[in-house]
Amino acid sequence: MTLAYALILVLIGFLSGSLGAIVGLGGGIIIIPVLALYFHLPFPQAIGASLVSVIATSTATSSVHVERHVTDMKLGMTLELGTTIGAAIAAMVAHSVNRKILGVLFIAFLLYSALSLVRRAWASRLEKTETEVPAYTVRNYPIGLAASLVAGAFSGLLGVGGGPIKVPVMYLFMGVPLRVATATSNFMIGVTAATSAYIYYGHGDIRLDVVVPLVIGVFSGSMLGARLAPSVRSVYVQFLLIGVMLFLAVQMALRIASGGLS
Amino acid sequence: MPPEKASPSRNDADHWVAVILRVGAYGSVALLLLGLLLWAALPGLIGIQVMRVGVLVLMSTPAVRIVTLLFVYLRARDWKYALISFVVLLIVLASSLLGINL
Repeated sequence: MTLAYALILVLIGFLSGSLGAIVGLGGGIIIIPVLALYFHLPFPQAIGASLVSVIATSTATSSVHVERHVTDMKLGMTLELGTTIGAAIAAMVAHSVNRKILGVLFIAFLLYSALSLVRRAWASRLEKTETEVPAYTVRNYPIGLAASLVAGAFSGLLGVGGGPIKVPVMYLFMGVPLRVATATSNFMIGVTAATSAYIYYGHGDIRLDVVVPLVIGVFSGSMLGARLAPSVRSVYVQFLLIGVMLFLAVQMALRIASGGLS
Repeated sequence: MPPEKASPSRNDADHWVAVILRVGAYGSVALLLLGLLLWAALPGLIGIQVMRVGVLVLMSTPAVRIVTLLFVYLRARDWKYALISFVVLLIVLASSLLGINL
């Protein structure tokens, strides 16, 4: 990989990290299709690179959330029982799953994530920003654990964090305030992604020449994004990202249809 | 006592976990940058090795975070969450052993 490629990777990491941090989305959902489509990386290598970037984002941003006491670490640790098992099994299976099926699953997840952003953009018109975390009691652990298992499996199979699965379940079914749900999901993602990253590493799918520039970009981007988040009108960023995600979904579909996804 | 139902260990836990996460994130990125510099400046594999260590530090930070919480819960005699942390740690370690042996 040449220097120019490395610089572009830093830039891609920076953009997806900063925009992702502003709207509360990990960068993986953008990074994977970009690597697969435009850098012609085999799908598992794109996933491996994304997993390591996702660990970097989660680690860097959750240190801030934890310090502000908005992360429910007990809830996070409990649900990690589900995400880690899901991630480990899926990562083992991923290598023998047909790439075309992986691609189609990825497109489905991409569209689902875009949809959940649309929903959030719509809801944020009315929503007042919560400053205090209200008191709450967590309920419905079985549903949470089941959702975590699914989120973990998606993470191990597709290299994404799985936030769009866990956050709504914690918020809607488990009685967790949205801010706490987001912070806790983010907190869990590091452990979940690491669990599958070990297996991708073992398969040789974590390439230093891709991962190093990407992580440097994602790390600096997400630190900047987290700092900017309170002062940026996130609606515009949400619409921008929705556009990017839809574009990538279409590109991936076209690539799969022409048999070009390796 | 804070208004939400915080267990006695919550603030202690928050502090230590934040420290571990910060050290892991900044430390690994510093290693990646150092490796990149060494790789550009010196011939040989030293730069690559430093970058590899940086990636491995990053990948093991979440596991270290679990160990940290395990100790915090043990010290607070919170056996339920100590056990949960221990089981999560086992799953993560099993996965890493599997990765090494692939």
